[in-house]
Amino acid sequence: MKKTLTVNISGIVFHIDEDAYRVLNDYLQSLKKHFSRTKGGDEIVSDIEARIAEMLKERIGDDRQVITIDDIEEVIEVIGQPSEFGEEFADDTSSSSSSYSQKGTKRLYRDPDKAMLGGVCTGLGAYFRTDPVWFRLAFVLLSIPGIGTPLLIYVVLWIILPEAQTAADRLEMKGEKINISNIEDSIREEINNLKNKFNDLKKGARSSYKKKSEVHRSDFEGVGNALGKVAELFVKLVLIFAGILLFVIGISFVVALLAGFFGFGHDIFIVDSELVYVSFHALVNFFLGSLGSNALFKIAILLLVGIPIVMIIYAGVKLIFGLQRTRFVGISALNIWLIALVVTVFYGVKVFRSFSHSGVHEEITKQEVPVNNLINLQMKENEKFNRYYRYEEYFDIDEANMIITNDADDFFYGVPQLEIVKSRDEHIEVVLYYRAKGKSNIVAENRAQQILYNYSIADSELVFDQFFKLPEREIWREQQIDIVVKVPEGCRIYIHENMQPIINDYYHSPYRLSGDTWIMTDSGLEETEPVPENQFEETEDEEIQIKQEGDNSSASVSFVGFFYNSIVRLLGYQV
Amino acid sequence: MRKGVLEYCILSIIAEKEVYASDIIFQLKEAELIVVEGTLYPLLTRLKNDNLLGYRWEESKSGPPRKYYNITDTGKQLLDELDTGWQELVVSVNKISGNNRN
Repeated sequence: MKKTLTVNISGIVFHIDEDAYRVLNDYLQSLKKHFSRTKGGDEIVSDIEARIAEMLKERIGDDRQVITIDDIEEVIEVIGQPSEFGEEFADDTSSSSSSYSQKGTKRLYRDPDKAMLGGVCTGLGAYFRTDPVWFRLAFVLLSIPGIGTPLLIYVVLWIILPEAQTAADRLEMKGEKINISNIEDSIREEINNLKNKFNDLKKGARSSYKKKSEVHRSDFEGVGNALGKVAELFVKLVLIFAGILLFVIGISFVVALLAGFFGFGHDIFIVDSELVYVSFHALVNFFLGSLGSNALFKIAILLLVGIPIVMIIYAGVKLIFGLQRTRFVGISALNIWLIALVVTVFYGVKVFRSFSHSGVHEEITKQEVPVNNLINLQMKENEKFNRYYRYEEYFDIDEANMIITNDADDFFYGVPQLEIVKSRDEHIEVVLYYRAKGKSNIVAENRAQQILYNYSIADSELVFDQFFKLPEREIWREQQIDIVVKVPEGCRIYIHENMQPIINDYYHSPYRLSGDTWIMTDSGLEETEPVPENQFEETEDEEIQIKQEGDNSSASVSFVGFFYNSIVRLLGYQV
Repeated sequence: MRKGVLEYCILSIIAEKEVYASDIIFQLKEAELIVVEGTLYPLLTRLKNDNLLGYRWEESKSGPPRKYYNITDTGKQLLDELDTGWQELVVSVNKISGNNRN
């Protein structure tokens, strides 16, 4: 059943469908607008109107009585849209023709009226002319295997999509033409919606007889409604479930964050004579220097991590309780988050740049070869850590090339790396390379010079400290000491057993080198002890050696891992 | 280019005999000179306002009264000018395109 209007076109009376009327009216309005600045524009429009009347009359003949939308559409096709009238008249009609958008353009908007959260799904629904429920379902269901990526997409859409605020926006969202009558329609629709809601309320109050009349609707619709209700309930349950999920995820993030800041876990391997926890603050300062106490930076990081978590919890609570969305929350949260991101990136780049240049400071000592042609390499053990073997099984200190303590003065201990190579002349030469990073080569070199390290060279005795230290308040910028002992060919070297932690050779593992006497040959160090006769054992030995070398390389990996872990902890991402 | 041509055609059609818009449309469509009818009406109005065309109303059984257009004296004059102009143009164009082809 359709409502019919009676219209008079060029003096002829027509019965016309309501929707057909709307289309025709739109068309005539657009014509009027198109010709509004043309000389004799009214006449042109009335001529066209007459032609329309003629065509409609032809079409309906005598049998039919009512003009439908199809008729109107065909007539419009014959006469054409104003923009198709040709550019010949551009001089006459120039500006008016362009102001009319002939085909309704479609745009993605967020629909705040029917929104559950941000109105993204309703907007998508309007755009694709489907029920937004499917988009909601897709977002929720895909979030589980997609590890929350769809959530991120949702948030991004929430931010970038404009909200359909005006009636024109809403029409554009549905891809309908924007003109006065359409806007009027949509406003009318809105008022009707309001009226219906109001009526529903009234109905609820005093169950009116109107409800009964609704029951008498066709069974078809009844079934459809029932299915719809079931689907609605299902969706609601899914949403609540998703809400609980989000809530739990958010809370666990908070717990993890707090744990990161207050340090429950002991994965920061900090060893003194006793097992200790180093204050998070000291560690941050150590890695970031003055930046670590920069309030802005701290706040930025806190916001960067905290806002998504808070928003997850917020979304969860909203879904569980079906709260109405408040428009500004998401937007402002995102804006703050973006600012925090910018600040963090700014400082991040600063920190990164403080690692960008390397600096080396060299110390060379020359020494005559002793008469008996034998030198002793020894390591001076640090008494502070002579009990650390107790923690080896937990912390594997052998592989860590740094130790951090809770002692403010002796915060950091790094392990130097010693290498024995063939000298080019007849002297023994000990070269120490102090290395560090900085924002410029000069800064890096100065920093390298600051490294504190003790060693002594006296006759045949070369004694090296187990650790180097950083001066108080120095920040960590990959400080490292490489020691190269250059020994002339034919010189014998006794490598003390305790050298194992610092000795480093390309061909031989520290385990093999230490505790033995070696001789420098043309091709490098060679063992002076007789080679075991059992070849099998020998090869087995080498296999072990390879393994150990593999272990050795993992030391640097664990070192990188340590740094990574620290940064991750710093950011509070500990899960 | 099309601008003058369409007007020239309309004038020629109307000069033959008195016609109303649909007749003109029919002929122009036949000749594939216009696509949508809306193109014609502004042209007719302009020609009429320039005193090249006149019209009279005639009642129709199958619709609203129709405007029957006829050509005025100035219209005829212009049409003659356009005719010669067109012939000259055709000759000129043929000369050029013909020469180029040979």
